[in-house]
Formats: sequence, structure tokens, C-alpha cells
Amino acid sequence: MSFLSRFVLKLSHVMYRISGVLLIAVMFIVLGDVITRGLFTASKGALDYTFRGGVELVSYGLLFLVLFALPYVVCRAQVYVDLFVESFNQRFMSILAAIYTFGFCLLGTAMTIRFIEASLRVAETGETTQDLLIPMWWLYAISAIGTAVLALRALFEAIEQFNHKEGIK
Amino acid sequence: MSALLIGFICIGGMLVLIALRCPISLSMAITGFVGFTAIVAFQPAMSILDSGPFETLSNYSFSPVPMFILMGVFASKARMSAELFDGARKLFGGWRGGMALASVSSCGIFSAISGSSLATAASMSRVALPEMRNNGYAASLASGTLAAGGTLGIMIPPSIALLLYALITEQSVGDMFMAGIIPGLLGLGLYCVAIALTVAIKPELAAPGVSTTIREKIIGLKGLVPFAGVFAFIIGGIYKGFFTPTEAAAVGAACTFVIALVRGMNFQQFCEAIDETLLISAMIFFMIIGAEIFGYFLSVSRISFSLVELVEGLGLGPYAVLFAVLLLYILLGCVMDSIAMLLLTVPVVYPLIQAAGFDPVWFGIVTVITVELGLITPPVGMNVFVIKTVAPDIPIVEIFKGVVPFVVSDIVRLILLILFPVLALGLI
Repeated sequence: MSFLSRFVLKLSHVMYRISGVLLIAVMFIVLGDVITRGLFTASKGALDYTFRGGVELVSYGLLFLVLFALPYVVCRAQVYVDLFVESFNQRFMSILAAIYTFGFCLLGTAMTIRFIEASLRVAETGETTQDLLIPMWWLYAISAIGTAVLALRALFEAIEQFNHKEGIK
Repeated sequence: MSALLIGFICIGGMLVLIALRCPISLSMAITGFVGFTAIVAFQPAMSILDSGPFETLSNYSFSPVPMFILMGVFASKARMSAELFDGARKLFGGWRGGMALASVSSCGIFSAISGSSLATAASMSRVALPEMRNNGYAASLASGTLAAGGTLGIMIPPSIALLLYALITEQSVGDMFMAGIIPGLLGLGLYCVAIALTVAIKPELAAPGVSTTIREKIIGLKGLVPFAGVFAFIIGGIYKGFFTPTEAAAVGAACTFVIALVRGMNFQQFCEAIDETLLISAMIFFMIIGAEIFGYFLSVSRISFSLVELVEGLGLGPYAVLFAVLLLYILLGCVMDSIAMLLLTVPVVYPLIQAAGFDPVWFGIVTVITVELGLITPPVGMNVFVIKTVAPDIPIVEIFKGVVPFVVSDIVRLILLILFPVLALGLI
């Protein structure tokens, strides 16, 4: 269990790093789009370095940067309302936290199942993106990897919280 | 059981979950999924778990969210806040309360390149809080000024809150940003008035600063140059049509990235900036996923429409509706994060406001100002907690005492905006 837990943590960390690369990539793609379009307009069409698919690259870049970032920070990146909890004891809080984190495991699992089904469905029809003609099933399949790791990471976090190792932050 | 009744039961359940410290994103997702299943069926509810998040997260319009955060974080890593505060401090020179004025002005200017209140409060407080305390400022005034100053980040464009409001209500992001400029500057001006009045009434709260010459004041202005440059580039670019508001976020992030590189940001700081951006983005996108699932449920339960019918049946005038909504925001703001509140409530109350005949852009500004109040009011007051993190020795009660004059000035600003909608709509 602890080997698996550590493996999932490492994997989610690697995905977090990939997410960081995507963040910078998205910034430069938009910048490239704006600059090449500006050059095209300023030169009245003489300098045409514009490229197709900028919007798609940014859109799917955003999709993966978010889905790859979520697993690593599944517990830290949450907003809570601390209104009545001061009266609860620590053990009860840990159990509640474990239940909620397990909720993310269920959410991640359900999303993974749906993404895999969607991937199989669009693979049959051969659907692609409009500009870059990327097969849609790739996009769903990669999304499924992100949500599957989210589910696993949430599961191990929930177990840890239930065992009161981490407690509630 | 009618869809409406299921809707109200589910929303009640969601409030219980939130009160039991369930993450807001999960509360919205569970409510959305369970409610949709109860009203429609399980299989269609499962379908929204792929189509909803996939379409939302790959929606180009949401791409500015991480970019605006990145822009503010790079600005912070480039130590632009220190130079800015130093310049503003020289400008106000020997005035009593001059450092507080410098802090709040610096927050306003920092907001112009940061889309987040928390980033603004965190960046500026690290620089300005120790300086103010070393110079004999009362902890309440020093901390209250910075907690309140940080809230300017949510209004002065670019603002993530205004962006999200525009996306939820399908308004133009450019219009929302333009509409935020005057109310943002008005807020800055009123905060300065609040400081001046506080110091005039209780001079012991702030010691006079060191006098500066005209030459020093002018030299100090150079700290403003990068901010003015990036802000003018972003807003000018949007206004002149060189790029869209969506693209402006990435252009702004690239600008502050270059400034940070020129100022010697190293690889470790670069990685820290990326990590910080991803964490805040993940926080927002978790809530956006929850809000998306919740949104499907809201549509099928027709709660918003029923609320409109209910209000029409009660015969309430438009301003009564508006005040009821604003009161709800003020109450929710005491216990809930601002972005969470927007994502959760705007889809419900927006049809009410539309039916009452208010301008959606103006309402967005009024809403964001009201939500902003929640950042500095007890018991949640996120900005107050940011200040507490920077200065753990200041009791939280002292910080809340310090924000009182700013809460009053925010209420004055809200009243002015309700009386004179042109303040928000004048630049559109």
C-alpha cells in the first residue's frame, strides 16, 4: 500500500510539473499568435507567419494543465467555510476530511469512466478537432489519465486522513 | 416530488455540507449530481461528468484565469512591489499616515497587473507591513490598511472576479474590465480619505514619515514605470483591438515574466512562481468544475425562474430586490470565499436582477464590490488571514479593528455606485 501510495504521489508530482510546462507553453502560444497577427496586419499581409490552431492549442493546453495539476494538490487546493467546526474534535474532523477526500476519489473515478467511454465513442466515429485535426479520442484518453490519477491520489489521501496521520489542515 | 422541491432540498443539503467543512467545489458537485439524478435520471447525470468538465476546461475563454495569476506572481517575484512601495513612500514624504497612504496606493497600482486580491495583499504586506511597524504605526492601522488595500485587486482590472462574472453571465470581458476602472480608482481614493480621517481623529496611530525633496519624489516615481507600462499595454491593447481581453492575460504574463527575468529571477524563483500559480489555479478550477455540474442541476430544477416568479408575485420593486441580493452577498461574504460565492450564487440571482431591469455590467461591478467586503469582514475575511500569515504576532482582532474605516468607505462606494450607475458604465 505504501509503495503504491508513494508511486501515485510521485506520478502526480510529475504531472504537476508537466502542468507547469503547459502553463508556460500556453503563455507563449498566445503571445506568438498575437505577435504574428500584429505583424501580418502591420505589413498589410506581406509578413504572414500566422499559424492555424492557436486557439485549439490553448484550449486543450488549458484542459491538460488543469487536469494534470489537480491530483497533486487535491487536498491543498480546496476552499472551506470554517464556521461551526471549532466545536468538533480532531478525530471527527479527520474522519470528515477523509470522507470528503474520498468524494474526490468517486468524482475522479466517475469522470474517468465517462472519459474512457467518450474516448471509445469518438474513436469509432473518427472525430477530430477542427483546425489541427487531432483525433478527439486522444484528448479524452489523456483527460482520463488525469482524472484516474486524481481518483487514486484522493483515495490514498483519504486513507491517510482516516488513519489520522495527516489530520485536517 | 416536483423538480422545484427537489431543488430546494438539494440546496439545503449543500448548505449543510458547506457548514460541515466540505470543500465548496465538492459540495457543488455532489449537489449538482444528486439533484440532477433525482430530477432527470442517473445515466444523464453521468453524462454531465464528461461533457461538462471537458467543455469547460477546454473553453478558450477560461485561459486568462491562470495567466492573470501568473502575471501577478511574476510581478511579485520580480520584487516590483518593494520598488513600488518605496516610490510611493517618498511621494507622500513626511505626511502623518503617509506610509499607510503609500501602502494603499501601492496596492491599487499592484492590482493593475494582478488579478487576485490575495496575491496583492500577500505581495504588498511582505514589503510594507514591517516598514510601517518599524516606523511606529499601530498594528491595527498597518495591518488593516494592507488587508483592505489588497481588496482593490478584485476590482481594478485585470480581475479574475470580473472575468468569471463576465463568463457566467455571458457579458463582454472587455466591458467588464473598462467598467471596473472608475469604481476601482474610486475605492482607492476613498481608502486614502479613510486613512486621512482615521489619522486626523487618532494621530497616535501613525507617526509622521521622513520628509523628502521634490527630486526624491520624482526619482521615486520610477518604481511606477513597469506597472504603468504593463497596465497601459494591457488596457491599451484591448481598447485599441490589438488583442482580445482573453489574449491580454497571456501578453501581460509575458511582460511581467520578461521584467522578472531582467531583474534577476532565478530558476528556483521561476519554479516557485509556477507552483504558486498552479495551486491557485487548481483551487479556482476545482470550484469551476463543481459550479459546472451544479449549473446543470440549476437549469433542470428551474430554481432561478421560480425565484423570479416568487419575487414578481411579492410585488417587490427593483431596488428592494437589489438590496435583498446585496444583503445576501454581505452575509455570505462573512463565511465564504469571494470566487466561490460568485460561482455559486450568480447563476441563481442573475435572472432576478435581469428581470428587475438592472444593467448586467453595472450589477457585476456592484456584486464584486459587495463580494470584496467579504474579504475583510469577520469571521472568514481571507485577506485578513493573509496578513495574519505575514505577521503572526498581530492579534486577528487588531486586524479586524483596523479594517473598519475601510469597510465604511466600501459601503460609501457601494452607495455612490447605486446612486450613480454612470460611475461604472461611463467608460463603456
